[in-house]
Amino acid sequence: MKEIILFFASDLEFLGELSVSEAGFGSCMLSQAGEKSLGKEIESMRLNGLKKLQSAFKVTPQETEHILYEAVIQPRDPLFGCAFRDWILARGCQVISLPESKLAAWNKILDLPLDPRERYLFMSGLSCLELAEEKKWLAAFDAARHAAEKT
Amino acid sequence: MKPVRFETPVNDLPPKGARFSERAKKKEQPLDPKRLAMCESLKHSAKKIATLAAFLGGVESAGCASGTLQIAGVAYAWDKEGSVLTDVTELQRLGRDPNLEDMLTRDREYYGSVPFLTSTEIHRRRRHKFAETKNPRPVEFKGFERLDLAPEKLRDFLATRLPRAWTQPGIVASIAFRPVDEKIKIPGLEIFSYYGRTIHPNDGSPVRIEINSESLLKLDAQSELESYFVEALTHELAHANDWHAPQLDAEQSVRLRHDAVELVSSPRRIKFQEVESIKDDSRQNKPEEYHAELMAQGINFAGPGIEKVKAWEGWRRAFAAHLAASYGLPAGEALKNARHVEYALKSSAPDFKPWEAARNDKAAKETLLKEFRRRRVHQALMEIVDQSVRDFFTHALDIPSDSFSQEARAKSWDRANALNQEVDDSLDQVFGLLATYIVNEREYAWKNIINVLPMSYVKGQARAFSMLWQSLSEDKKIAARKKLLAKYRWLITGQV
Repeated sequence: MKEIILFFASDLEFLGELSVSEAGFGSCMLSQAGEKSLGKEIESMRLNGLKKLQSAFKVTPQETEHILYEAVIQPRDPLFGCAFRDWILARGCQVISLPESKLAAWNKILDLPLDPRERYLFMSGLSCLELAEEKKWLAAFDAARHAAEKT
Repeated sequence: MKPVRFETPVNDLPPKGARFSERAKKKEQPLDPKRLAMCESLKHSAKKIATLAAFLGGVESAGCASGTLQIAGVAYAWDKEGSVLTDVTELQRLGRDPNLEDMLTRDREYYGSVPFLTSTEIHRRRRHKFAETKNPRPVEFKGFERLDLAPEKLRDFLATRLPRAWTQPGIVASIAFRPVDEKIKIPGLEIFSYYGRTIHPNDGSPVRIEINSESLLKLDAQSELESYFVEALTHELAHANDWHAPQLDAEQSVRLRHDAVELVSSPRRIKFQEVESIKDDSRQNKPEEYHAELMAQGINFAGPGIEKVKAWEGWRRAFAAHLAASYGLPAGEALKNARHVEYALKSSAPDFKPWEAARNDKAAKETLLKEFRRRRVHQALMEIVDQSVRDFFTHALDIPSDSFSQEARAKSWDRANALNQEVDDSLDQVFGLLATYIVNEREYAWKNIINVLPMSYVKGQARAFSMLWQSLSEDKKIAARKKLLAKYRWLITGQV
C-alpha cells in the first residue's frame, strides 16, 4: 500500500510530498521552499540512501549498553518511509502521513486560498477522520472553492 | 587379624538412647506462650530458609539468572549471584491487584520464559538502594574541553529543556563527550563508529552516558548536528529513566513497562524505523527502544498548538494530534501513546512540564549549539595553512558579538562590496565565504545560512585558499594581505 508523507517547515510552510511503499522510495515532489532547503539532501538519499541513527544492545555480565550508531537505510528498504519520517521530524519539521486515497483531499486544500498554517491544520484534522466525516469535509472544501472562484 | 582399636573404651560409652534423655525431658516441660510463639516463628523461618536454600541450589545448578519464589505467602527475589535480595512485599501486593496481575501475565507472554518482572524489579531496587545509601555525586560532565564547551552550558540546557529529575544524583553518573573511534562487536553486527551509548551497570550504580564528539564534529550540515546531538542526548536520558529508574516505585515500574509492551505490540503502533528494524529474536529490547524514542518525541515536541497549552490535558491533546498526523495513527491510539509519555513523566519527573520546556526550546538549543558551531568554525580555520591568515580569522572569531551592531554590519558589507572589485576574485571569494561564516555565526540568521553551507565546502574553500596563497610571491602576499586586512579589519576591531 502506498503511503504519502507530506512535510512542512517549522513555520508550517509546505515543503513537499514523498510517496513510499513496501518497496521503499517511490517518488518525491518538492515545493520551491522544499527544493531550496532539502533538495540536495533528498536527491542524495534517493540515490544513496538515508543516514539514520540506529539502536543496538550489548549485554555483558557487568553491564547493559544501549548503543546509537549511524546506518544507511537504502532507498529500496521497506522501512525507508519510517526512516524518512523520523529524519525529517528530527529536523524540527512537521509531517502528515496519509494513505494514497487521501491525497485528493490535500489537492483540494491546495486549491483553496488558505495560508500555510491553515492548510496544515485542515489536513492534519482531515487525516484523522473516518470516511463518512471525510466526505462531508471534502464537500465543504468544494463549496468553499466554488465560493472563492465566484468572488 | 589385626585387632580393632577403640579410641574410647566401649564400657565408657553411654547406654543407647541415653544421649538425648536430658533434652527429651526438657521438651516435656510446658513453655510460656511468648517463648512458644518465638520458637514457632523460628521453626517457620528455618523451614522457609531451608526451602529457599534448596531452591536456590537448584537455580544455581540450572544456571538461572534471577527469579522469584513464593514461600508461605511471601515473595522472595534473588539475583544472579544467588543471594536473596529481600522479601518483595511490593511484588506480593502487586500480585494481589487483579489489574496488575493481568498486566504481569501478559508481559510474561511477551517476554517468553525470561523472568523479566524480577530482573526489572531487582535492577530498579539496586539502583534505588544505591541512590539511597551511597550518597551519589551530581552528574559529572567530561570531555567538554574538546568542544570548547563549558559544562555550565550543558547544565543550563538540561535544566531548561529536559526534566531536571532525570539527571539527579544517583540516576546519571556522567555525561561524557568522548573522542571514541572504537569498534563495537555484538552478535550479527560490527559497529565502527557510534553517536551515543547508555551504560547501565548491573550493580545498580548510576547510568553513564557517552556522546561521541568525533562523530558529531564530522557531520557536515548544521541541522544534522543539532538533531543528532539533541536526539542522542534525549534518547539516552530516556533510557536512563525508563522502568528501571530508581525514583519509580514498583507499581509505577510495572505499569510503565506494561504500557510500553502493549504499545509496541499493537498493530497500530508508531512505526519508528529503529524499533521496526530490531529483529524478532531481540524483541525483548523493543519496548525499551520504543519507550525511549517516544519519550524523545514527547519531550522535543514543540509543534503547532504548544504555545496555547497550560496543563496536561491540553498537552496530551496537542501531542496526540501531532502523533496522529505524523504517523497516520487513529486518534485513540495516538492518545494512548501521549498518555504513556504523560505517565512516564509524571512518575519519573513530576515537576517537569513539557509545554513549558517547549517554549524554551529554541533559546535553549541555540545557546548550547552556538558553542558547537564556534568549534566547527575553528576547525575549518585550522585548514588554512598560512599562520598569519589563520590567526587573522581566529582572532576575528573571538571578538565579542556585542561589538557588532546591525548598522555596523550593514555598512561593512556595503564597504566590502565596494572593495570587491579591487581584490583578487579568488581570494575574495574564499575570504568572503569565511567572513560570511564567521559573521553569521553571530547572527540570528545563522541557521538559515549554515543549513545550505556544508562544512566540507568551507573546508574545501579554505584548502583552495591555502594552495593559492602558497603559490603567491612574497610581494603579492603582502599586497593581498593589506587589501584583505583593509576589507576585513572591521571583523577584528568591530569598528567600521
